[in-house]
Amino acid sequence: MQTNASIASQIESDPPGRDPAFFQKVVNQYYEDLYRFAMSLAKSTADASDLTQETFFVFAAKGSQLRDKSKAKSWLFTTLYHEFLRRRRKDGRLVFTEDAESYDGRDASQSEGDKRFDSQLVLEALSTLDENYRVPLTLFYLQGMAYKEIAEMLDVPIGTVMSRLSRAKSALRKAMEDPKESERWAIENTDQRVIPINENRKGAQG
Amino acid sequence: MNDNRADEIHGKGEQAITDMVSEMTNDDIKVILSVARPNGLDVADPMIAGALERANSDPSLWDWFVESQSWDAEVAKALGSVHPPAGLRERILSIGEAQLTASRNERDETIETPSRTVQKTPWIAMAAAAVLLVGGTFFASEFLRGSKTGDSGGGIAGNVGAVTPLGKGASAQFANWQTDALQSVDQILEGKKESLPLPEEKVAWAWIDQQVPPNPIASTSSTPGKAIGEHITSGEGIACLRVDDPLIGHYVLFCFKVSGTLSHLAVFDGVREIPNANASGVAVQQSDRWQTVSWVEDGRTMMLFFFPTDVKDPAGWAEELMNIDLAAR
Repeated sequence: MQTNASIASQIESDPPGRDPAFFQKVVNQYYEDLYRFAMSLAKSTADASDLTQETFFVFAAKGSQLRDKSKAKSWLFTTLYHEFLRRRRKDGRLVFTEDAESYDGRDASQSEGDKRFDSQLVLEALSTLDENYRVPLTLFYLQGMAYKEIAEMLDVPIGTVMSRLSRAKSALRKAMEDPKESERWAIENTDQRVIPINENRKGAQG
Repeated sequence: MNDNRADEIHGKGEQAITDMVSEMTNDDIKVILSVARPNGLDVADPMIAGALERANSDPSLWDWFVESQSWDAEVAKALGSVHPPAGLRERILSIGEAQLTASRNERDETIETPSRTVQKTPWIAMAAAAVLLVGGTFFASEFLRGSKTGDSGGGIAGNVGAVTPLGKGASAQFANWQTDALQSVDQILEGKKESLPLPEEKVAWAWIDQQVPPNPIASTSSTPGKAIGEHITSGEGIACLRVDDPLIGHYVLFCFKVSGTLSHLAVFDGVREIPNANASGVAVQQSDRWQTVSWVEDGRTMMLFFFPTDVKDPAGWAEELMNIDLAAR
């Protein structure tokens, strides 16, 4: 069985061009995490599936333009995120809504005793976070992206990504432990501004 | 540590970073440690290395870091157990391979005057792609609407004033299967989905029956779909598509022109719940762009749809194609 690392290595060594084998390798390597990322953005399974399909469609059409194959992962996640933003601008449909179909694809093969958190709980807690926090956090967890990669992908300064990741983790933890607290946090953090941590703890020492 | 300070640190040399980290509060250190990936992936990063060094010399900070990494691992594991729906990978591969083939064909083939049959697909894709460059889907559909007659599609502005919305306006809600069919046609128009080889118009209805067979036990006396099929024999087939989706189910699309007006018929397997259906089970709705009429016929759910801006009287156009009186139903 091929490991992710060996597949990634093959992807990097594949020649450029519209190669079906290369396409298949990329799909096998990334489609699940792309879907998970899409779920964190759109919440509905139908929209998440559609975003994932669309991303690979674009990859099939334009992937040959990708000169550095090692950037395929970053390219795919960036493309999916931009597609999500484009669709939301277009029809305002891809937003978190109460009536959106909820995720029901729990891992049936894994018993509850095997894990501390349920995927549904994590997804719901993630959904309470403002997008500015949710997106970098999901990327961090899903593909183990370094904060510098996330900054590059989202085109935001490194310091902002660090701040958002740190704050997002705190908020996620609160959301999983106390949903009411997370709602309050979400209301306070729904603008585009990142509150410098120093403002909240003047003079505080750790 | 605020954002600017973190950015400032990244502009420094390794020794300067070490010095700055040594002066940080534990809260600042926690911010840095919270972006460290598991398994020491970031130890080469001077800022994270400096923060780890601080944590090594402070048991409370180290305990916090260990607990934080453990929590991260649990969250990552939970997210990793979210599984895509069955069949998604296969659909992606199928669509991607079709696109790869189409891209190769577009590069290799000589573009000729479109004729009616299978060659229409690349023509549709190319025409749509060309006009999308200047105006998006709306213009692509205009191009298609005017293509056969040599009409430039300029009559839209004149038609807009004559539109008579049938349904509940742009807020009308559509079921997933309806939305999927509308999006599929959009994707055909945009050249993102390829048509199957088109059957001759005279056998179009038989082709639909073959793809989504009627249920003889559930046969209905009213047959608007069959009436549309008869109209198609005197019209022009444009594209057809078969969709098998684990979420939506199975359906076929037939895009056609009758009297120069582009319309679409979607036939879904089984009896679906039709949102906003009237007492007779017929729903006439209008989204932002589409006029739709949905009903059940012979155990199958059908939807006729078109751009209301294409005709002076959308209700009249639907009634003509379906050979029914919508007001009486």
